[in-house]
Amino acid sequence: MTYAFYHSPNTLEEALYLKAKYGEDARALAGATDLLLEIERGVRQRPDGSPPGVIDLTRIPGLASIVESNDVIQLGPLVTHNQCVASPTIVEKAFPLARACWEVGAPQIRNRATVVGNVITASPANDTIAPLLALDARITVRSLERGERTLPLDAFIIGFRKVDLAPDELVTAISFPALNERCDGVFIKLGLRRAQAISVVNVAVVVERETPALDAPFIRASIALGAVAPVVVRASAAESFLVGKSLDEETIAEAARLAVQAASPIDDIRSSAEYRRAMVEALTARALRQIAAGETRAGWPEQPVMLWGDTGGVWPVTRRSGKRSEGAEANERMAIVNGCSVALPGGMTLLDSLRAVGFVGVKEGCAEGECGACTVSLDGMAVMACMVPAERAWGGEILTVEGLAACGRLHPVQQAFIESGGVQCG
Amino acid sequence: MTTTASPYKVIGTRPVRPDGVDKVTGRAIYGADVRLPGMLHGKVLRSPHAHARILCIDASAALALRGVHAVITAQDMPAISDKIADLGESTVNLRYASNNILAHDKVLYYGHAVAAVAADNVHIAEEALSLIRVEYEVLPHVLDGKQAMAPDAPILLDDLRTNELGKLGDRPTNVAEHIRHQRGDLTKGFAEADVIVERTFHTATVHQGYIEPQNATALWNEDGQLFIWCSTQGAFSVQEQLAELLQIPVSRIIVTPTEIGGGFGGKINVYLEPLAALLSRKAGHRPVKMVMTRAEVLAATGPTSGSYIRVKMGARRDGVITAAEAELIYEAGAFPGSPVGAGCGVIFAPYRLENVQIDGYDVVVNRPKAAAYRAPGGTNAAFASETVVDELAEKLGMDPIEFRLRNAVREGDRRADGPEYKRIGLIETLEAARSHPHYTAPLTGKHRGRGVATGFWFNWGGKSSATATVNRDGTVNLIEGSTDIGGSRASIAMQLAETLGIPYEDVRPQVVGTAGVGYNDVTGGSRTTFGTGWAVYEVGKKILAEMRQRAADYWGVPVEEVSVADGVFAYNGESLSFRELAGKLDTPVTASASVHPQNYGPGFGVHIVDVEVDVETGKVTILRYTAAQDVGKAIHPSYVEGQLQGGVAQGVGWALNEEYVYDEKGRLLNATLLDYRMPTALDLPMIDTVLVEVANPGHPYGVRGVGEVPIVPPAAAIANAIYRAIGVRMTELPMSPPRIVAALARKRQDGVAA
Repeated sequence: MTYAFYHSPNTLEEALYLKAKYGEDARALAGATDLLLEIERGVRQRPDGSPPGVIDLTRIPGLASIVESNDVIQLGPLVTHNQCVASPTIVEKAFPLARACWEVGAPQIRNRATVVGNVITASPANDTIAPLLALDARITVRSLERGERTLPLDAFIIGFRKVDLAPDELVTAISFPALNERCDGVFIKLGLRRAQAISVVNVAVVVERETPALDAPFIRASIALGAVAPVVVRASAAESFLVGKSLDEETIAEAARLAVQAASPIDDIRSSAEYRRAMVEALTARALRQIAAGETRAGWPEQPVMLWGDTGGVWPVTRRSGKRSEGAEANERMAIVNGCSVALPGGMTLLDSLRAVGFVGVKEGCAEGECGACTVSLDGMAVMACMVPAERAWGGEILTVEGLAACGRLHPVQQAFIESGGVQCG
Repeated sequence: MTTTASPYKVIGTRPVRPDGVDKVTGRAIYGADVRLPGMLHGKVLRSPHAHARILCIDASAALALRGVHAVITAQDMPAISDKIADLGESTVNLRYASNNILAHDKVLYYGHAVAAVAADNVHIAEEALSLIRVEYEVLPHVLDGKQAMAPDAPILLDDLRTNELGKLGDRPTNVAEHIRHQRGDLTKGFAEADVIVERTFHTATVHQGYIEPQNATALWNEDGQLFIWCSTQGAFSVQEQLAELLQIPVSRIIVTPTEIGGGFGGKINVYLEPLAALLSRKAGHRPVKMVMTRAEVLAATGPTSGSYIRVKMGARRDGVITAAEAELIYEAGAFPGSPVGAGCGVIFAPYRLENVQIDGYDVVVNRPKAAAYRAPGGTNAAFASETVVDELAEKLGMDPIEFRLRNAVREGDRRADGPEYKRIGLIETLEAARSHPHYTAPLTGKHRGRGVATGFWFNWGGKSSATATVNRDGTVNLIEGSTDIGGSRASIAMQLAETLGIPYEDVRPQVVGTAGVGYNDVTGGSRTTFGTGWAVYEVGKKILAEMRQRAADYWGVPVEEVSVADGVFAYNGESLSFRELAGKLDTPVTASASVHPQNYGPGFGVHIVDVEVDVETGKVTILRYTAAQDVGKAIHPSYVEGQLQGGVAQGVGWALNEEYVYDEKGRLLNATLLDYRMPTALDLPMIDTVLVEVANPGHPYGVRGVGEVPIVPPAAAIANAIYRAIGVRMTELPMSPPRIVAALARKRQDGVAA
């Protein structure tokens, strides 16, 4: 099953018009890392059960910025996970969000997946929701007919994978107060491996002290728990218990115990409810201990691996080749693949499209963004081709494994693979 | 690594592999890349139930769909009577194999193939599947081996009777076979013991996890000739399986193997090939390509068995094991044929035992039919026995390696399942591990522990054929039929170069299909560098003999007067290099050899691992890992090291994370790589290797198989390390965080109770 149609508006107004026109027959699409799979698996359908069309927002300028003004940080709807990882503003003043973004998937996914998309999918295990909830984030949505409204994140998420977003609305911003020098925050994810893992439990804690001193009492504490209830929840009993206190082992233990009250976990394939409850206590305590010791940034990489070359991580909104204004349909489908102009068929993933025109060095190992066998460079950034609509690559530049060797010389990584037997299987 | 002055010029060096460039540039053609003119695309309809009777299948709506060219069900398969086929690493009853390809009267597991469609494209084929109406009568199912043995368990195969120690039972059952190896007197042995340890273990169903999904393209010609392109560990095995399943002569089938993106035993049995063939014929002799999705790979190919294993061992105060007893229950999946026999052979293989009894049970359950997975059955067995051995050593206050050395098998000892060991290298490997810096390095820090375990694998010889031609420039074309899954193009070409006395670069190997070379068994059982190496050694000898004759003819002297050494032919002060002589050949020199070598020489490994346990979350981190192994002779040391590292990596996943999770209706819940969690590079440390070279006298260059041994010890070594770290004996795989946390909680309760 694939999407019914594909639109790529160039302005927010055009996008809102399309949303108003198609309503439940079309889904807004940004990073596509959740949505393409959901459409493929029949999870996202039109009311009649057929696959929806998609409205790709990533050609709209100005939606991918992280802006701080008046101590409020605002994320545009196209800000990716990797952009947050690389943003000094987020790392300095919203660290739990940076850490959560870093813990998601793999670099290829973080280059495409947006924070807003993560929130709209609204799975309780989605990693960015807990830090945003702890940061008291607010969501701004807009429609052509009714204009803009802004609501707190916990009001926006209304249930398991359900958000308060009308069929004609788009999320246009996430905003939250910047953490000041009296604040600290931490995010801890318990996944079952170090990359490409879904949270079994995650915990985000944000605190504000009376003074910047580590032992100063808290005037505010926010604790958000992921993957332990139908939605990400705040541990309010633990939060109020912490106000006015500074941290010692006893306080930490009590707060952690109180945090469990907010959890109503279930048994699923990743864990039992019992284990999750125990982990809420363990991770909350661990988070508070890190805060008490001023070690919330331990292990944060100095140079996170982005796999985005020199792009800065922002997707180009203009086509690099084959201008749409040139009219002919074949032109519209052109992309530069390994330096050559190629017409890529649409209505399918970039993986299937590239393979259809002969770039079979790009492989399908899982078709769900886990294995990385379909990795290509799109406009200078590594992506999983199985999670990109082929149309997004029209007018773009793609490098596949077939194009890595330049001027008759293997890429150093290719050479190293050969020399150290890295192409071995079993 | 042990180093001595090498008598070899090529063997033991580390040249680059012949297929390296093709693979890193994306040019290598894999099965999913095959395209033929007029090609159709096939898809499979699979059972949504774990166990159900098929009442009727109505495919009329699917057939009526525009773009659909053929639909097949079990009715299109020829009827097959009972016949056991040897697949190299396992055997299979062909009637059951046919039933596994397409369900006959019942579906026996979630994902069991029910029908297949060929259409113009994949989307039409998928739509056609949704139009096929299947009426099922859902039956009670059983997923667990022990439960399946209960008298009131749902019966999967109405005609199945237990082969009870060679005698066929008379009642319907899920127990396909009970085997026993027995020697000495257990009662006497346990009476002599000063300490006895008995534990029961459970291991989960796990999958090989190769990166490339199964695929097959078939063209069944109007003249009855069937062409197959597929990803397989053995083109000839595919040919034979198809001949039996489709009831056509072997000579009518030409199988061309494409490059293979991993197999680990899982790409021996056929799944899609017969379907693609039948669809091709039914669709008017058009080529049909079929490629599995990852979900199909996990749900409907062959993982390896989950198991229950009880082990009881006793030892004297002086460290001698006096008795060993084991009972292994292996889940075969929907049809008989678990690797329980191999498990019974592995379980006590490293130890000299006077009093021993091993009972194995092959039990069918409503899971996919188990296939071979790297040392099939071995990891389960060693997890149990090596944990008990560790505990015995602990109770005796002995160093675990010293304890194993006191009981280690050597030349002349007999395994419990019969065979007598020839020259083996267990003692050398244990000593190499004991003297490795890792074993004596201080390990400090809370909740850290070091574990060791040994592992055994039989290895295999099998049948191999190869052909080589001398070119006029002195280079040699080598034609072989062994799928290259671990760098065997290089290791085979190196052995031919060594035999001929010419540089490795002068031998150009090619892997070809059934039409291009004599018979070859599958690449499996760690046999290829050994068996196909034997074949090219014979080929090399034949070429040298013929070249020597040509040199003698050139000089006009009797052949006995021409000497051959290091690729140089000499007579009375005159000499011709291999290359010079090749340039003078008027009639080309080509030689072929087919071999079936028997003395394949089993292998042993000893692994040392340091772990750290997060006692709050139960997560286990591998801090350091060293794998020592008797490899006979490392032809290409880098690829041998790679085999050891790869085996450990898979073993770590098996030990800590991987398992099939089913719901109460018997549906597989984690048929995705997101939730079937293999370790990533970030989850593993650098894996250190020690190659111990105790030459196998059964091979001209001393080769032993190396690929399977290294997956046998990891689960036990890690369990033993976890015990040293937190004082808990883990008896269930995977040792996942929730299980560790639960075990710690039990330990605390027991502590309080005590």
